[in-house]
Amino acid sequence: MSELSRFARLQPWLSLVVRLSMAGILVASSVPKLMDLPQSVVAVRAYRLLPEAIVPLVGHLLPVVELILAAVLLAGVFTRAAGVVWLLMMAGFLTGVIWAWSQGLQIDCGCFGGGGDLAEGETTNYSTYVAERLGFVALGAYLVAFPRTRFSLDAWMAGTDRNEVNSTESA
Amino acid sequence: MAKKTTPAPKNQAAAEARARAQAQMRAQERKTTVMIWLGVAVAVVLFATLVAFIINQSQAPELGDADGAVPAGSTESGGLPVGTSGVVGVDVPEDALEVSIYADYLCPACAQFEMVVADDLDELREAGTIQLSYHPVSILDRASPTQYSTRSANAAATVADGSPEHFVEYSNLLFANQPAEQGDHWSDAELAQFAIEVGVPADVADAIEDGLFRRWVVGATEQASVDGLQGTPSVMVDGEMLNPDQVPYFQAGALKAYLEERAATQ
Repeated sequence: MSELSRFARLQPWLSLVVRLSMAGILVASSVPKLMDLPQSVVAVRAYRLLPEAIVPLVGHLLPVVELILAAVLLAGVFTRAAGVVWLLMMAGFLTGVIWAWSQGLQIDCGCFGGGGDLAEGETTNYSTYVAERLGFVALGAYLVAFPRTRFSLDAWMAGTDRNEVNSTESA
Repeated sequence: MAKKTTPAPKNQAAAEARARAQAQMRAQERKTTVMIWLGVAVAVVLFATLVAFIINQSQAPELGDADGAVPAGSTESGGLPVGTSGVVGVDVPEDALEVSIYADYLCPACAQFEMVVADDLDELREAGTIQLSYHPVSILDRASPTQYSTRSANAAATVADGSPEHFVEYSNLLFANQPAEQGDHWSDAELAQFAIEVGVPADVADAIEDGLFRRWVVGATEQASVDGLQGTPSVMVDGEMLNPDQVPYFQAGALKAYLEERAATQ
C-alpha cells in the first residue's frame, strides 16, 4: 500500500522527466535535419523503402513533424495522444532500420541528422540503432500508460494543477 | 415547509455536485480552446512547410536545359562531359563507354581517389576509349560552416561554363589543395585565385563568388542521389555504379584495367 502511494506521488514527476526527455530527443533529431534538408532527403532515400515521388516531401516534412511533436510534449498537452504518435513514429523508424538491416544495406540511419549511405570504411551498427529505438519505445509506452505529469497544459486544462496533485483518478 | 426541513448534508451534496459539474464544464471549455489553438498552430506550420517545400522544388533548374542557370555543356544527369581535347562539352566521343565520376571537393577519399586515377582517366579520355563526365556533387555541406562543398562545386561549374578548357586542371587543383574536412575552408575569393592560377580569365574567376551555379549543384546532387549515388567517390559505368569490392579502384591501375576491358568488349 505504501509502495503504491509512493508511486502515485512520484509518478507525475517521473512522467515529467520522461516527457521532457522525449521532447529533447525529438529536438536533437530534428534540428540537424532542418539545417541540412537535402541530406535529410538523401537519408530517407537511402532506405530505398519509399517511392521516389514522395521521398523529397517526406525528407522535408519529417523534421518539421518531429519538431511539432517536441513542442506538444514540451507543453504537455494531450500527452497520451502525443505518446501514441511517438510510438507510431518509432514503429516507422524501426521498420525502416530493420528493413535496411534485412536487405543488407550499408546505411547511416540518419536518426539525428546526417544519414544516407556510408562512406568507405564506415560500418553500420544496426544492433545499437535498434536497441536505442527500443529504449525510445519504452519511454513512449510509459508515457502512454501514465500521461499525467507535473507542469503540463493537461493538468491546467483539467484544473488539477492547483490542488489534488496526489489524486490518482485525474489521469 | 419540506424545503426548510431538508437536511443540510443534502444541500451540501447538491452544491458540491454543482461545483463539480461547473469545474468539469470549465475544464471542457479549456480543453476545447487548447485543441482549437493547437490545431490551428499545427496546420499553419505544416502548410508553411509545404509552401516552402514547393517553392524550393520549383527553383531548382532543369538539368541539361540550355536556357537555365546550368553550365554550358552539362548533361541532364548533372555531369560535365570532357572530350578528347580536354574541353568540357567539346569532342565528346558519343559511342564510347560512358564513365561518370561522382566526387565532392571536400571529401578526403575523393582527393585520394582522384590522385590514383586522374592520369589513367585522362589517358583513356584522350584516346577516345571512354566518354568521361565529372559530377561535382555537394554532400558534405554539413561538415562546413561556409558550405564549401556547394561553393567549390559551383566554382568548378563556373570554370566549366566560362573557360571549359581549364576545367580538368582546375578540378585537379581543387583536390590537390583540399582543405581539412573539419576546419577552415577556402573562401570564394581564394577559389577564384586558384582559377587564375590555372589560366582561367579574370572575368570568369570573378564570377565564382556570384554563385550562379549553386542551385545547379544542388539539383545535380539530388539527381545523382536519385541515380543511385550512395557516397563519394563513386564511378558509374554505363549506368551502373561500380562496386568497389569488385573493382578496387583505389588501387593504382585497377580502374584503368577494368575500363579497358569493358570498352574492348562493348
